[in-house]
Amino acid sequence: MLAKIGPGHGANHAAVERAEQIIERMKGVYEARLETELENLVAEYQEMRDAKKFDLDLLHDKVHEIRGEAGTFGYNLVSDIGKLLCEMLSPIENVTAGEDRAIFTHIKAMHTVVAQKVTGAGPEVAKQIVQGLTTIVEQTKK
Amino acid sequence: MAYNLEHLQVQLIEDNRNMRALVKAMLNALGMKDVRDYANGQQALDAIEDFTPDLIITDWMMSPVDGLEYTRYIRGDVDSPDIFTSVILMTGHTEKWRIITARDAGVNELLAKPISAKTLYDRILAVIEKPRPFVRTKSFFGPCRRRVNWKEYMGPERRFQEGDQAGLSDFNEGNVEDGIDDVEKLLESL
Repeated sequence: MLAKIGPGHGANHAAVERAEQIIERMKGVYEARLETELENLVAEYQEMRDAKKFDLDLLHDKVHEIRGEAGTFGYNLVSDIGKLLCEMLSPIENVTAGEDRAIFTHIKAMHTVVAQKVTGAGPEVAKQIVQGLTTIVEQTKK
Repeated sequence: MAYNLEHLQVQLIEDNRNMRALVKAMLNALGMKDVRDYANGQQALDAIEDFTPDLIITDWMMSPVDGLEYTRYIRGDVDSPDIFTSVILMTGHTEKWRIITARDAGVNELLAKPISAKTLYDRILAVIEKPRPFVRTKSFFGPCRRRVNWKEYMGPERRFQEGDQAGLSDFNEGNVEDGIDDVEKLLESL
């Protein structure tokens, strides 16, 4: 491998900047898709609630995908909330009423963040939301 | 002088189509022109006879062959084209046990999702500039799993045990329903 790349050292800032521009260029398309994905997720979870049949593995996989991408495009809060939701979903076997509400609140929170286009760490209220959700996740473990 | 990455042969393995397209475009922008992408480890495995990679960048969770299974193949299978091929594992899971599992499979570097242009490039640089020496034991072959100068590491601790989160010790003892009500009110003001 080293023979192929030749001598050099350190970061290539121009290349990193070019890669960042790629992300920036794809951001508009991504935002539209993310909002649709979260709208669908809200609807799908509502269907699970109505049917009282929860496919948590499917939900976990979808949220895991969403959170993996969101931060790359600046939606760090979606990644943070998604991570909390995945953490909460993992040990659940049968969904209680409290857990159901907690799951739905996480999904709604991700959707609201995107609908309001809150990127980065967001305002102070966003930090409170994440702290509140962290508390909920911890309490559902008890 | 920056490295010339143009001639590196790269396998990119990621089952999320959008993420795959994004990372491939980023790698191209970083100067890597020969990037072949696959939706899972099996596809990469099927292609490896015709395309021997210098660098593998792979997601973890995929089927039918996931990123760790593919790494184990590269490190240990008699048909592996190069057991020393560098492997960067992309993952959204940063729990300590998962990191240990990845290291035990022979991964060189971990790239935590969400990724950025800088973190992606930093991991590639780490593979080039700080390669871990390969070691062989009875049960392992791969890059040395000991972090060099661990005691001198001054950066943030990003490896959590499952359930560890900043601020967990500050939790109040209210009930879940109250917490949900509070969050719903906060969401209205976001």
